[in-house]
Amino acid sequence: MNTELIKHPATLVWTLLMIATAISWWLGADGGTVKSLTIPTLTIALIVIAFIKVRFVIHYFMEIRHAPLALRLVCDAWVIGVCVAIIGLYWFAPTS
Amino acid sequence: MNTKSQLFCAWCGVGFVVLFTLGWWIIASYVPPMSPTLTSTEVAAFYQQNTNAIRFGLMLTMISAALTAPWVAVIAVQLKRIEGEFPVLTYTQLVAGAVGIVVLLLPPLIWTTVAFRPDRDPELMLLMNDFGWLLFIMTFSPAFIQNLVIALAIFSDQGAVPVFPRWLAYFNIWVAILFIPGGLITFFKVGPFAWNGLLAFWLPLIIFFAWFLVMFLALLKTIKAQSHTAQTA
Amino acid sequence: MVSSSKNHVPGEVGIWVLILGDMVVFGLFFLVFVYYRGFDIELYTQSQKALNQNYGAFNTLLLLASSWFVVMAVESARADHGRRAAKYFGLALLCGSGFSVVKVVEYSEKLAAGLTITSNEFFMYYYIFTGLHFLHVVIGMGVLIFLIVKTRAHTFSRQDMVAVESGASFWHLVDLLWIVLFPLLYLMK
Repeated sequence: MNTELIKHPATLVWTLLMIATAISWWLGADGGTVKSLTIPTLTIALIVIAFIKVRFVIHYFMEIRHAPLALRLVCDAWVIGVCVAIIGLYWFAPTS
Repeated sequence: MNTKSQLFCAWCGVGFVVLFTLGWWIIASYVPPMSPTLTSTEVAAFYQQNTNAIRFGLMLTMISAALTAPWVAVIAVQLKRIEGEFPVLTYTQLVAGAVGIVVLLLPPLIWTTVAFRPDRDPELMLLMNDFGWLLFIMTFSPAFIQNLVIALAIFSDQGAVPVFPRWLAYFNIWVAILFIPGGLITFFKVGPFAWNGLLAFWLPLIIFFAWFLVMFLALLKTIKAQSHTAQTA
Repeated sequence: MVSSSKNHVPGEVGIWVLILGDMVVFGLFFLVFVYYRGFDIELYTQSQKALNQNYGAFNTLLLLASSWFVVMAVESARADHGRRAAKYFGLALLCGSGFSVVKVVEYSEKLAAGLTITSNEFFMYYYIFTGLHFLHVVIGMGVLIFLIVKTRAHTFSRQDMVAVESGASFWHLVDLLWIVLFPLLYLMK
């Protein structure tokens, strides 16, 4: 291990990602019934957390935050587009 | 330099796409694909109602299959420029592409057999119709290997002026991955992974056409560059 | 440092054809799953109960850790510490192997319980999506081995950074796709 390396911003990001995963794990456990959230709120929260995580991976791990504007825009458009579409399809599901 | 022959072979790829679409899609109307859940009488009705259109469309489809022969050959010739004296990947591409012709040739022949006697026992028509579809879509592995060796050959290019751009190698890997769902149609009769499904049929079909288009443009570019270098040298 | 410039494409441009292409296709997978789920939510939530969330979550943590190791490896390589980079890539490979072991255990448990690809719609998606993702893990592990060999070599220099960054970006893609698959298959209600 090298202390200088550990100070890299990716380390902080990684810690946050691990915490976010733990929160999702806890939220989704036991059928989500023990928490005082309604089922749609819970699911949308899980999806939003996932895509925030994805954006962190893209920007800090894949280093897209230093990439040319076009590549940054394409990646962010994917994150936002897929996230919104998933939530939309979930929200307007025929049998809910 | 045989620039004209090479260009002719590349254009055969375009000819294939046009004739294939015309025959299989428009005239024989196999697209949109029939559902795997159709009963034997429904399948029999498909062949009884448009018998001659199916026969003629499938005839064109079979002719189109042969046009991929020069197409595969011109890809091989360009890959050989990369590989030089021991062109194993080039040969693999050639062999896999040759199998591809068979995969394009046999299913229309099997469907033609059904259309040959449309008053036959519907159960037998159902069997042969299934056989044609499974042979057509499930046999993705030769194309998969063909794409992968094209990618490997491009990666191995050490020339000062590469024959193909490296992104074309990554594109071929992507195409190879997208053909995989075709192999899953054996399990399903409904849903996106059935032979008429979004992910087993439509996506690979679009990608298949896109691959021809992208490879065609890349071939034109490199054939012209090769011809230019030969003239100025 | 290379990464400090504002216009640096990580790795070679070509790898982004594959990465973005795979993102589009998996994006389509996610949407197809949520769309069809809407027609039979009861079936999907009931089937989901047969999955072990702990496996899914643990695998998420493993991939996140592997991604962090890969970032450390890239930074080491940039600082011309090839051997240290190889060690970090090795740790990432270890996480990838851990992921694979968990996955195989998980699949065999499901199969032993009689849950197969044809059991129902949910398990169709479960097997195919995790299977295609697993294929990416296997390819990614191959890439990591390649990078270990490359960074360990005495001839390693900054000229090899393009290959290092390309491979690293692909590995992060493997992580990224799993981050979405985990809540969709294991958690959402």
